[in-house]
Amino acid sequence: MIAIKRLQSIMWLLVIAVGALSAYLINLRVATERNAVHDMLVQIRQTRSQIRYLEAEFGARANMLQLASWNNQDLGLRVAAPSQYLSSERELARLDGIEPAAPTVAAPPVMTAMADAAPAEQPAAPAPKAAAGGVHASDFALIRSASAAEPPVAARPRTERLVDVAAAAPAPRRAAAAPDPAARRAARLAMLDARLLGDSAEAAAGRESRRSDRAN
Amino acid sequence: MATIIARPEPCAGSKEQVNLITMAHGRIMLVLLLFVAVVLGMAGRMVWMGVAAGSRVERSVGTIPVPHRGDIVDRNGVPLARDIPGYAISVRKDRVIGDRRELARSLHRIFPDQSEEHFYKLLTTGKANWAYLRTRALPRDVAAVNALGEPGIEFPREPERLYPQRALAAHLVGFTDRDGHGVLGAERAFDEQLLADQSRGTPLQLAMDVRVQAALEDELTRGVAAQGAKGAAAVVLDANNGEVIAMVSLPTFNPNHLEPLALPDPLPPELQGADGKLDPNKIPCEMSPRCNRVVQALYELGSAFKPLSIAAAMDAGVVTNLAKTYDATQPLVVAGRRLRDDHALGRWLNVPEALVHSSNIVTARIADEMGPVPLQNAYRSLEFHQRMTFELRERANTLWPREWSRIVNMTVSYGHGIAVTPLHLAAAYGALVNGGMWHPTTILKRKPGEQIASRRVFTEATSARMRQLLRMIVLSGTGRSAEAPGYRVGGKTGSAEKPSAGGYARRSIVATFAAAFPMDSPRYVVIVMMDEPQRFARTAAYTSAPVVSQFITRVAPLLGVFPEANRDIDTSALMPLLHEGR
Repeated sequence: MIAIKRLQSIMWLLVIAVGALSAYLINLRVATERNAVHDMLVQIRQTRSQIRYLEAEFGARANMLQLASWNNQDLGLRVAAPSQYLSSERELARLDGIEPAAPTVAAPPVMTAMADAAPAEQPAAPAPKAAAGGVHASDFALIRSASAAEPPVAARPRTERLVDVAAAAPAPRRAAAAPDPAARRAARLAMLDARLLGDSAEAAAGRESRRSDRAN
Repeated sequence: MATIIARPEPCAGSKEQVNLITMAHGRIMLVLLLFVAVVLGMAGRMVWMGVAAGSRVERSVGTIPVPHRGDIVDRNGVPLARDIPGYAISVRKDRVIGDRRELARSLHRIFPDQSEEHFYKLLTTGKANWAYLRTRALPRDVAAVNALGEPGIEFPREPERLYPQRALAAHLVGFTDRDGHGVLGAERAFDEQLLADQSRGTPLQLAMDVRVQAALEDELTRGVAAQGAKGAAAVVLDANNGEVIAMVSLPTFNPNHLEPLALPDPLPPELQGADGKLDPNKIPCEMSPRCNRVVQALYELGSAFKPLSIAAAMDAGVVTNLAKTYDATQPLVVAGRRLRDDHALGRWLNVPEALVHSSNIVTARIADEMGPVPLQNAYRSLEFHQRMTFELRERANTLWPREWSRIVNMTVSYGHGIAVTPLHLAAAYGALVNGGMWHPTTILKRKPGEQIASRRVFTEATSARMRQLLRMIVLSGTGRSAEAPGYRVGGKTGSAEKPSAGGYARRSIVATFAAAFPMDSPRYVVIVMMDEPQRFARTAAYTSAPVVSQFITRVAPLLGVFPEANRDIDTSALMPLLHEGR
């Protein structure tokens, strides 16, 4: 019994020693992990410093003056001309390269009026460039050129598509010349459709357009 | 087998035995507690390390490298100034073992810009044992010096300020001295912020757009070369919040490689300070490419002042009818001075005609009718009487008339007898076109929703009217060469003779064009000024205005302003007032 009792105390001692040892080992492990994390942080920091250095080098090698010099010597890129900018899908659709048969019509100019500056009865001045360059073709011209490419029998589905385009786009203020009969039919269909849809503005534009057709 | 069980004799002192056992138990308990305490301590320490110490370690290291001096970036984050680890080359004289004359010769071969004598002197003389042979050395030069095999030469790594965009925006960004303190531009204005521990990790973001700056410098450099001008200045402001989008002063310099100033020898007295040495603040712009002409140089900007004076007269109730005509048939003689028009039409002119044809006489008559107080008030509101409210330290004070007599009031109305910086004019034009609010200019990018200490200078209606008039000047007047089709440019020319001894030098002209675009909803103000263009046609219409046109065509889409041939400000009500429009 005495021996067992003595062994018991030794066992306790061993248990405590093992516990302490394992605790120490865990402590060591934590310290190791901590050092690894520290090293990783230092490595990240060094990498970021290198990235900064490389960014600075790239920035210095490709600075704006250098790029301009390369452009002047080799590339020859130039600023886009104002006519190369398109403000809407409608203008994009007109980039078909087909010359309009009728004289072009300017879209209504947007004039920023002053609150108390311009009297109401003053007519809006036409846009300086719109009518001159032939850039903005009229809707009628577009319709005519598109439908002329189709045989007469296939005109109907094509016309429906054009009706959608005409209904979606703002109507021109006035047509400068009479389009051909096919285009007029298509335009009338477009105006009729617009009226049936109840869009008063479109309908009014259609009426105005038809009046101008008759006048011509 | 007999078993003898001897009864143990009772201890003599059983009480003492009990005490010994108790004491042993006590000691065992003490040891046990000690162990428990150690174990608990270790466990606690482990928990502590797991929970709290990790974050402390991360904090102490920091994964983001903090530069010695903060970066400067443009409004889109493009670096303009950065610290990089650079090389220096230094020498410890007592450790040099080779022949110093031969070493100096070798160093001269590697760095031809420094003489052999210079290096020999550094290697031999001087009190200190340690000396710089070279700072900001390139790695290939360091390798070449290292190949000399001299143990006395060292290569310390030092933080070095690099300006990746070289001479681009050199005046705006500035540069630092050898001690790492800012000397010019933003480096000087925000020196403390760039060096402070709390803020140097965050880049200083300027309002400048490096693309716009490059385009402006390019166009202005071409203009100066074409016109043979002595210098030039240009600035682009956001008309609605006062941000400086671009600022150019020519000639310029490379902050990475500063050349010594070419000053006259011996030093003239006007450049000397109280101690007889050079005073950097007294160096005129003509002598120093480091002078920022946008904020440091004063100019009589001439006719570009006329729209400001007319706007002040409108707000003062003097100009109520634009159709009212004023006599411009003859030069105006006041107090012995003769005020004349450069392009005299010899007839009566109304206000739009006076601006479109830039009539000094009509502007002077309107100013005379208005009197000095409204004009002074307007000019004071535009800070023409003082240094501009602006971050850069190198700002010139204006030349404000000492006595505001009748003749001074008349000449000042068309920009003579008063000298301001181009930045003053830019901020004033911003107020003129943006609805009448003067915004303090800033080189820093404003935060969304930031409160700006603005003030009203002109009424909304006056500003709207001036937008029409400025557009008319470009459509039909002296500013026709500034027109950029589709971008709705409006502006005013200003060609003023430079003051010289005893009057004005008729051949020395400061040609300015002050513009804004798009005039139907102004967003940006552009001021281009050329100092003494030398070609035959020297006025702003032939020198500065074409630069404005080229620049706006090139840059407006970058700034979100797209060409629209079908949109413009409505000037139809005023066009009939022009003689040509009738």
